[in-house]
Amino acid sequence: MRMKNKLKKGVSLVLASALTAASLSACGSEKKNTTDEIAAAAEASSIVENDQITYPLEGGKKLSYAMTLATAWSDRYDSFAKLPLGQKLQEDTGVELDMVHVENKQAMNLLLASGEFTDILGFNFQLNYTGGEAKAIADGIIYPMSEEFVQKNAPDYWKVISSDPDILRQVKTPEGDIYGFAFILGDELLKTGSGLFVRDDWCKELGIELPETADEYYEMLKAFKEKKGVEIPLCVNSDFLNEGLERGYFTSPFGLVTTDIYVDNGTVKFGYAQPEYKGVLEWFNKLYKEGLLDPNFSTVDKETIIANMLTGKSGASSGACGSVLGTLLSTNQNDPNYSLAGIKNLVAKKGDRPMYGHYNTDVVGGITAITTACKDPATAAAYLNYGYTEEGHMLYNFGTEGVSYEMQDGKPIFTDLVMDNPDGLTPQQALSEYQLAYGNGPFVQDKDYLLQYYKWDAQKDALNKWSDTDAKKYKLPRVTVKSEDTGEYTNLISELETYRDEMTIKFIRGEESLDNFDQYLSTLKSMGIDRAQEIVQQAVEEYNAR
Amino acid sequence: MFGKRKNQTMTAPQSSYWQRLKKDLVKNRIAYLMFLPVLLYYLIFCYKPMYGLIIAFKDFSPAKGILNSPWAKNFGLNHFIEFFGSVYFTRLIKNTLVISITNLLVTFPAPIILALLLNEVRSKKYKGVVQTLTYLPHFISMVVICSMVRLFVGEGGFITQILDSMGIVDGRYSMLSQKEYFVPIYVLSGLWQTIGWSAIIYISALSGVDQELYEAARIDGANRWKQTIHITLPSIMMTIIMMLILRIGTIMSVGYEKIILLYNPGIYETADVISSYVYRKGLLESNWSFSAAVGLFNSLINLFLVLGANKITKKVTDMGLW
Repeated sequence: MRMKNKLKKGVSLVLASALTAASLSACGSEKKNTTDEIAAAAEASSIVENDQITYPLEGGKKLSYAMTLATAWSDRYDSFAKLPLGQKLQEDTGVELDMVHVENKQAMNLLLASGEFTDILGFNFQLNYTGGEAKAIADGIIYPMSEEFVQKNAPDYWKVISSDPDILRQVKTPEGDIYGFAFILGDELLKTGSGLFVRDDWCKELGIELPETADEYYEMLKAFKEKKGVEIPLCVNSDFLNEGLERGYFTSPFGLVTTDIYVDNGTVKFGYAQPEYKGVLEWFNKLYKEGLLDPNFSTVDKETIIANMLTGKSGASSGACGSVLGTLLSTNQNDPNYSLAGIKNLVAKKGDRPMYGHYNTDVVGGITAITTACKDPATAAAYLNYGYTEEGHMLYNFGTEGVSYEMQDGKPIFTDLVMDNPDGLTPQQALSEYQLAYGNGPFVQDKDYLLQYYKWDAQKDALNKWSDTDAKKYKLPRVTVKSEDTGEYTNLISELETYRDEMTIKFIRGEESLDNFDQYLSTLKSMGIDRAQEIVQQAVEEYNAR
Repeated sequence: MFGKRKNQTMTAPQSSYWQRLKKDLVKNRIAYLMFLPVLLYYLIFCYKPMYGLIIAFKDFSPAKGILNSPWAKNFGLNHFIEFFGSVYFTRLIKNTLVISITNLLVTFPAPIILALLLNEVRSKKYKGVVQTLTYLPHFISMVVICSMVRLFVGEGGFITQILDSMGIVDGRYSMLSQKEYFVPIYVLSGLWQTIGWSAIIYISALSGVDQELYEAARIDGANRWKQTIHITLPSIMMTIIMMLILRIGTIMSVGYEKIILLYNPGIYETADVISSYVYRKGLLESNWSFSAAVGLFNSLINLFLVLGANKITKKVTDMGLW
């Protein structure tokens, strides 16, 4: 008896502990409303009259809403509904919000896997859910909205998405369903947000012009190192580097558009599988060998990069206009001997226009969707529609009039409460209590928000330089892979990208000779990159035919 | 529960067993009552979740639930076929085995040696201090341990600096960015973390050794070394073998927490193991079914390793778990 128990114990312990992933998903799943029931509920609603919703909604409706916590406010508030923004939203719409906050995207994926959804979900399905929104609909998570449903229950949203056929294409799945309420970038200016920047005060001191070509950039780094004694002239880590390569900061001089997937005259190409990528790697290998690139770029974290850029240990880096460049400028604002300037993405010859840059589609990844668990999708749609009305637009972008902004000459201007907060909060932290434009939500982002949010002239200047690219020509549209191919595609992509990341680091560090670059290309082929290309090509063709 | 089964299996040859059991149940009812929570624990937390394993053979989708998700292609074995065909398959198996076996070779004997050494120490105070110091790291959380390790072996970290001055490594680079150092870092930091704690079981086994045996050996002229070899070790052999079998059962499972806290894509070549792969596939890419299939495969191998190890030790030493 004792021995038998031990066997049981041993075996079950081993099995149970090794299979956390399996057991996590073992929780039961509730029965969902059938589509018919939901349609019936939508039919019965009488919220909308004459294509107009009157807010606040009547009847004391209640909706549950899941979103990931935003670090901008999570240290001061424990729920979105308790923020001044959340309070105002509930008051204006007449809907009581029952918030479910999860820590991060993994936690959200676990919530989805548990099968217990809230009525409304805010999540980046495109990036964090295998197969994107179309798969989430097929999996029975998102409630698919028909055009008629949106017209009927969210007339203001419908006005926005139907005004531009491009936007309408982007909020639909290949099956023709509208998957949710999108965060729409209302201006070209909002589509760019990151690039290269350097210590221009050092450039001035050394008599160097701001670099445009790869050679000039190299000379500048060298001058930083030799004349200024800078320890790590170019400080990036593998994430920054990868982002920089995908956003084309360094690729144009070598004839490569980007290392990301792009479209060249209708043909889908994988940048990291192009022969031109070799030139980029050779250049980085040179920087690495000469000590111009951070020798520990594969292990340093973002905080170290920020610290290096603040203390003068480094003189060049890359990143987002707000969270990286803005943070650096704000932190060192009292140092007269510190200044940063954005530079254009590098090119081969002076005066060339970079082929690629950071460029977003109109509809970005994060969306707000109604789930199949929602018993009253009409009310949920009416609530989410609010962000696309005029009042909602102002609230989501600028907050409350008289508190976070004042109207001056017909333009909303942020008050000192948010831009120069008396409690010492950064603009982003302060803004996050009143509006949502710093993040992502069901509304159209306003460019007046961004121009004020970028407090420093260097940021506005950088933004202008970073947006001067041909990225629009090459940008992969917001496509969705056919749901039957998603399993195969995600497996392919994750293996290909793991291999790419590894090999990129090895080539740059010289652990793998660049003579073996052809072997790298043929390995990618044998891993099935052609099949991946075919799948994306189909998706692009389907998108263009929508 | 047993009562019900009794009725079903009331056949002549077995009846005596069930009768004896019934008697025993009545006689030792308090003991059985105490056993009940343990039984429930295993049923609820170890056996019931196992039904979720079928998602390894399905294309699991959260909204459809476990039972209603469709079966995977190729008679449900598609995820296994995909894993075996993956370019990373051999590397994952190799890394898992290398890390785990090195870990076993280093961290298994070390606590035994520590326990034996402590056993020889006469000063009780000194023994206590050493014991406390060696098992302190056990109480520090893995995340903190790993942050400390990252600092120590990073560029400018004190271990890197010491090794640099001895000419073993290049101090400008983090040791974690070089693939050849990952296994030593992993194993030695594990040793530091677990040696004291793992020694406790041996120390307690040692305290149970009959002192008369030593006396007899001394009379026969055995020195301290001979006493250790001929008395101490054989006396704790059962404990050692039991621990060894349990350890062998976990050879294929290297925990993902420590790996993902220490690795980076630059050293995947030596650092990526099955569990970290499962973590990336399952939690980061929400490929539930695929990662469950990989995890199941891993556990099956573990099961066979335990059974195998038990069989071998039974043959060789006549001792085993069951």
